[in-house]
Parts: sequence; structure tokens; C-alpha cells
Amino acid sequence: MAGRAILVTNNPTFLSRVPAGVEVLVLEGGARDALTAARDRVHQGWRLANHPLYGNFRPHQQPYRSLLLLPPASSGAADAESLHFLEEALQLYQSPVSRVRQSLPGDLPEAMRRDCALLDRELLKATLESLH
Amino acid sequence: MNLELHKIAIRKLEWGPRTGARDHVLTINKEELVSLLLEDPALRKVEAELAHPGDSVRILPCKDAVEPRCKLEGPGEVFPGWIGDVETVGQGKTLVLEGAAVLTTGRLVAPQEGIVDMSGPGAEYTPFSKTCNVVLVFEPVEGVELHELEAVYRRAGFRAAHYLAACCKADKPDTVESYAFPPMTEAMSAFPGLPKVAYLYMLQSQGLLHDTWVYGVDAKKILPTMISPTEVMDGAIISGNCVSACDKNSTYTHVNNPVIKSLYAHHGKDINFVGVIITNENVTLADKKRSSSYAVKLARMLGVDGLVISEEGFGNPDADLIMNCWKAERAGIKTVLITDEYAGRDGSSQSLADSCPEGNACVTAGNANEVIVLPPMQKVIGEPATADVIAGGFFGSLREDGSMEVELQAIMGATSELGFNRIGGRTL
Repeated sequence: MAGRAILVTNNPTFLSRVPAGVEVLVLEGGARDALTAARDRVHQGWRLANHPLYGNFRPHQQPYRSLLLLPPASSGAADAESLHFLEEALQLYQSPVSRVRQSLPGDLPEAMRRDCALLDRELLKATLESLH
Repeated sequence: MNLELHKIAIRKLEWGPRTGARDHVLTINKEELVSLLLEDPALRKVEAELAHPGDSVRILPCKDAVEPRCKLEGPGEVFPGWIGDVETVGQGKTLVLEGAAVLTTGRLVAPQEGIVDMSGPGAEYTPFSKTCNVVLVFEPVEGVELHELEAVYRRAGFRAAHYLAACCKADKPDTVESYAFPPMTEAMSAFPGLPKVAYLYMLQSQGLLHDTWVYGVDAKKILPTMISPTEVMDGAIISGNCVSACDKNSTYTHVNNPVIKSLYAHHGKDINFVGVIITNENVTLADKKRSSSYAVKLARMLGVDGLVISEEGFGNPDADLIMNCWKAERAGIKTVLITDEYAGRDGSSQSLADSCPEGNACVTAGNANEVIVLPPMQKVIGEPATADVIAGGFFGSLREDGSMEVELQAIMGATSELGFNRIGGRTL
């Protein structure tokens, strides 16, 4: 693989916890902001390594979102599958119900925020390990 | 592989000096049970309570449900990899305390759900309102790491369930059910003229609190493989899935998988049920591609005409479900999908996060966004709903009088994608 993978996330606890060789981009804001930033990179040729939705958490049940992107292929063309999954995910996050109920990390009580951050890291563990 | 399920019907639980079953009453020596579980140094305290159908009791947050089972004859022990060795199971005789369940509860992380109401409107939505439940409330010692703690709770549920059944080995069963699973050469040539159908059994495997184990192996690390339905009945597949109570498959649901029972019921009549393929639901996109292609390859090697595919969970696994569907259909295999829906409170939103035109035969287990009001109960076992979790809008809202307005997602088994539901439709 040419170049470094990049982790786009709004979970600041990732900063000191990613394997060597992975760049971390921590965003302010909510999960939707992370999805949008990843989508923009996919248009520049980056490829998604993990599915953009959590299993068994709905948009309002997890304020964090982390997406691992692999460096662009030599053609630089947008990866249709990555784009498909990200657009489907964004559609869910932008639905009227989700938009009203979505929370930002700062809205949560401390214990909840800590546990949500931990689960976000846990659910990306296998994908980060797959890089090596 | 031939398996006999020796079933003792349990209709009541009581504490007593000796654990055993008599006249459909399971008597349990509480001290013996609790002492057994406290052998685990990670547990500081175990409380055991009984909950019967109709009681004004709410159990929260329920992690797993386990049916008391143990081997009477045959290689191995139930829940291989957790109780006893990892010997292949699914043969011989297994004792089942039908009508009883062990429910485990205890705090793992802050987001909490998993409601079992033993009476009232919520009881209609959970199958565990109709079982006689031994509810275990765990408290760990200080400093147990979260992965280990989840395993401690999970293992304690299996130990309790095995202990209860093992104490009843000498008691006479009320019924004996026989299940056979022939060698492939026989299965393939049986019932010429009937379509060959296999079951593609999707297992949640995304990470901590979202895992399933097969013979003690983390399902995220397997390639899709074949398993005998009788192995499933002996607990070869167990749940480490603690999230999204409505559509997680508890260990109880795995061993009683209604899809398998239904395929057996149709076997030799309108289909030839030739096998079960298990596959995972990983986070990594490469794993999703690999597993869906490999599972469909196994189905092609079996030469099946049709696949019944059940999903576990929602969101991310919808992608696995859809990949399994279109890859099978484009390989000439007809599919039927079993899922549930997140279609918004009014049911008008998109039900799944992914779709494909080939997915034109689909069974739904219900809309998990449906709202229900759960009245207060006289007793709460576990940890009472707290305002920061329930009122935070994660799973609903807690009212001043103790009642809760929740979506079905919070209720154990309410939209089980194995069809292990209390409410549903049936063709007569």
C-alpha cells in the first residue's frame, strides 16, 4: 500500500491509541461531521476500510464516529463502493428523526461519554489490526 | 449426527435445600448456586432472584438468557469452550429444563438496555416473560478490565445453566425429541424432486459487546463454515452480544433457533434441508466481502436451490445481509431474508441501511422503533433505569412515576431476527 492510512474521527481518545503508520485527523463536532469529512476524501480517491455505520447503535446512541481510509489507488478515481456506503450512512444520519435526536459528545454525561468513546475504539480495533 | 433432547417441563421455581426437579417445580439450593459462581475471583457479589410469568417485576439491564442444559450421553459438554472441553457436540442425549431460563444482569458500560417485564404490555414483546427465570445480578471486584468482565458475566450464566440441568440428571424427562443430521452423501440424494435448501446463519461479530463465539472461537476470526443443527442445539454457538436487546440473539435463542426447527419441520415435505452455514458480520469491509463470497461459495458447493438467511442486529450488518443476498441470487440461488426494521416511529422511513433489487423475498420481525409505554413495576431486579441513560434519549424516556416510554429496541428479543418472538403472523 502506498502512503499512510488516515483515521478520520471525532473521538479525541484515539489520538494516543492508533498504530504507527496511521495518521489521525480529529474533528470537532458530531458523528455526521466525521462521515462528511470521510465522504469528501473518498471523492479524492481514498478508500473506506470499515463500514461507516455501527452495528446495533443508532445515530443518536453513539456520538462518536471513526472511519479508517486507505490511500488512493494510483488511478485516483473515487471508489464506488466506499461512496455507496458513506452516502447510505449519511442518509440515515440526515433523516428527520436522527437529525433532531443526534447528540454531540459534549451533550453527554461524563460516564456515558467515556464509555461511548471506548466502544468506538473497540469497534474499530479489528480494522486497525487488519492493516498489519 | 443424532441428538435426543430429553426435556423436563419446568413451570415453577423455588429455593430449597437440594437442587432438582419434581412435579414441574425446579427447586434450587441458592447458596450452592451462588457459591459455585463466586469461585470466579473476578466476582465480588452474586445475587440470585426468581421471576415468574405474571410477576410485577422488571429485569434490567439483561445481558444474556441461557436455557439450562447439560449432556446426558455423548461426546463433549454443552457450551463447548466454556463448560468443559471443546469436543464436538451435537450427538447423544442432552437434558433440557424447558420453561426455565437463567438471565444475567450487571453493569458493563453506561448505555443500558435489555428490559424484561414479567407482566404488563412489555411482557407481550419478550419471550422471557413466559419463562421461569433465575436472575443473576453480578458485581465485580475492583479493577476487572471490560473485556474480561464481559466474559466473566457470560461464563457465569453458562455455569449456572449447566449446574441447574446437571442437578436434574436423575429426573425423568417429560418428552424426548430426536433430531438427525445425516452424512452429506445421504443428505444430497434424499428426497429427489424437492428443492435443496440450506440455512445461512449470520452471527454478530463486530467487537466488544457485539460478539458471538463458536466452540469458544471468536466468530469474527472464522471463515464461513458448516455446522450441524444438532451442534447448535448443544450450545456450540453462544452469545457475547450485549447491545440492541430487541434483535440480539441470546444463547437461549441460539439453542432454540426457530429457523432450524422450521427447516426440520419442512424437511422431506416441501424442501430437502441439507445444511447450516455460519458466517460473521465484521466491521472491516474486506471481511464483509470475503465472508459473503465464501459463504455463497459453500452454498454453491452444496448445490442448493435456496438459502434462508437470518441477520443479527442492524445498521452495519445490513450490508452483510445484502451482500449475501445478491451474491447468492446472482449465483442462481434463491434467497429469503429474515431481518427486522428501523423504520422510524411512524414506520415511514427506510427500514434497512442497505438494499438490493435481488432482495425480493423478505420476512420482517417488526419495527424496532415502535414506541411502547411500560408501567412501573413493584420490583426491579438489576439496576433501576437512571435518568442519564433513559432520559438521555438513548432508549426512551423515564417518567416521574417510574413508567418508561421506550422503543421496542430496549426490550429483550422483541424483534428477534430468528423469529423467536411472542407476537407475529402465521399462515394457517
